[in-house]
Amino acid sequence: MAASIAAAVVGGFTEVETNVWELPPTGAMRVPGRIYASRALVEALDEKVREQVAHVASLPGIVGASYAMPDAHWGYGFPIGGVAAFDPEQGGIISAGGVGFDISCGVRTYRTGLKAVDLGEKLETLAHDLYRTVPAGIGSQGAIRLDDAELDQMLLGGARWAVERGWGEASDLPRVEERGCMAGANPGAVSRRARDRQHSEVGTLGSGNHYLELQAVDKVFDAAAAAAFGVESGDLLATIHCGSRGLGHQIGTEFMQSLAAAAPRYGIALPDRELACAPIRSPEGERYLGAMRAAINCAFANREVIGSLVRKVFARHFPSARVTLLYDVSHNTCKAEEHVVAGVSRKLFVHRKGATRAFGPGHPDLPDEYKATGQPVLIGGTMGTYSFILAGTRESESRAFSSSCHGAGRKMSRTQAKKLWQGKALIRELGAGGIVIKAHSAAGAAEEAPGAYKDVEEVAAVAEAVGLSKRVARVRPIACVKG
Amino acid sequence: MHEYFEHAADVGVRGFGESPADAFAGAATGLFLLIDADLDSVRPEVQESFELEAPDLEALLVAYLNELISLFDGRRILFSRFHVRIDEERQRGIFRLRCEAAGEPFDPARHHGVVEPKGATYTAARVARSDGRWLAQCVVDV
Repeated sequence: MAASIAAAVVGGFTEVETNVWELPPTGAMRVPGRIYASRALVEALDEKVREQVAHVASLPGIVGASYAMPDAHWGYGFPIGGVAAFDPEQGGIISAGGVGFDISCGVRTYRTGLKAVDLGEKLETLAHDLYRTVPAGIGSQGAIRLDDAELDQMLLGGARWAVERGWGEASDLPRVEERGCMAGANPGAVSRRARDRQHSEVGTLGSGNHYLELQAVDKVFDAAAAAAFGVESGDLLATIHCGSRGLGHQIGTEFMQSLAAAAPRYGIALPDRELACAPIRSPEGERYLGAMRAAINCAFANREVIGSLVRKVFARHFPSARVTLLYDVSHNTCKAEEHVVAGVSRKLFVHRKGATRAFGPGHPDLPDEYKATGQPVLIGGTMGTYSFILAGTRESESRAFSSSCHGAGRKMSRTQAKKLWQGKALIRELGAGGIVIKAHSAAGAAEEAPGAYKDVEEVAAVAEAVGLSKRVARVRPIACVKG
Repeated sequence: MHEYFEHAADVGVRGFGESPADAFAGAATGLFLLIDADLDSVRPEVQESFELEAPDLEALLVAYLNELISLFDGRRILFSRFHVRIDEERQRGIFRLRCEAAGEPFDPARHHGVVEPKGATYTAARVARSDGRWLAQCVVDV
């Protein structure tokens, strides 16, 4: 039998080790492209992802490689599931396309102190109350109205602002990235339009793939880490997926425009205008950084306020339940972080677009209770499939600047999904399978059909196999509120 | 006239018409049908007019749809009618758009759509003559 010496090549990517695929630098690429994925995931990859990985690799000041996570799909400028770090000392850039429209969109999971089996008949009532209490769907408004001065406080304070105003609990803060308050926010860089869009949207879930879910811990992979995260099999969890709402979308829209216009002034040729970027050390780059950080605080505040509504609902039905935060991650961000590259510690600006930060054990930013396990990495599935709780690893630092995947990732367009599934029938079908769906839009639910997404189990397994993060627990949905 | 086209995660919106302006109006209708499936019954009670300029028609289309998204989200107006005029100012090398949009205050109890648009993007952005008519399209992040 002749041993094959040729490495597998799929769609331009060469498999350099199991589940690690490289795109060698050609043309304008300054570094290689690298995707962490199984062969099946690479084969299913949109051609556009390879193109976008290559484009990102061509941007000034990029360090290491242009990375794509196992759930990568076609995005705007950067692929969704894209990770790229830039060094300001080497002309590194910051890109609005590298963060995306929904700045600091993320996942927050609460422990409830209850077992899923304890819900029994109350599941329907609880789900309905969550649906009634947490504003969701197109154009929904929250109970909070912010004038400009208060909005500035929110943009500076993030989740801490919400806690100070009584819409959250101080004990949550250490378990939110940046301890709930992103430093360096510049409300002065947030336009009138962005402010107007947020006036009544604090504490709203939005629509599309955003959700509020009740989940049962279905399987534990790592008992020690699960114990540190305070979860065990059968536990009832509540998970929120949403972002910075209208304010973040407007900031994304405006800076996509202005940074695309700025790039040529700094001699940066953009192969795609949605890579919209400027040097980190430029007035335009700094302005975007300040506005984006304000939007991160907006997302923190938003999820904290929604969390306080979830607590209210639990208090009505289970007065003795103690709802505590497991963790809150963001997956559309650019963060200044210290990373060791070839033995030297450097301050890099790490873009994670549809990718989750995944600090390993011992990282100084982790709260004490997670120091030994690594950061909780919360991976959202779909309303009909599992979600995962993973933990950051030490290995992830050298793999992709301590990053991991963020969700299942779509494999089918919304149009196609609507052709295949009918909203009401889908909701009935999921109901028969034990998942209560409360949707503001039945057609919207059809677009979010579980079958329209990639297999989240494979995504999580690959993330573990290549050392991006390790699986701690698998959870299954039992009720889902959709916008 | 409008239709939707495929995109992996979001929605492609395409308008058609006799002129670029008509195609822009069609794309706007497609955009607002995402927010309310029954746009025909929306009354033209509230009017907004605005002007935009851009170096090319694609940039103008993206700016136009973003202006409408921002007006919807910021002022909570559901637009259903769009009068668009586009002029090319050759000397300045720009295209100028004037739009009068009419609709009614958005009411989540009465208006039911599919998904909330976050922003119009340059992905698949195209304004061109095709088969004897104009089309104006781009992908909208939802």
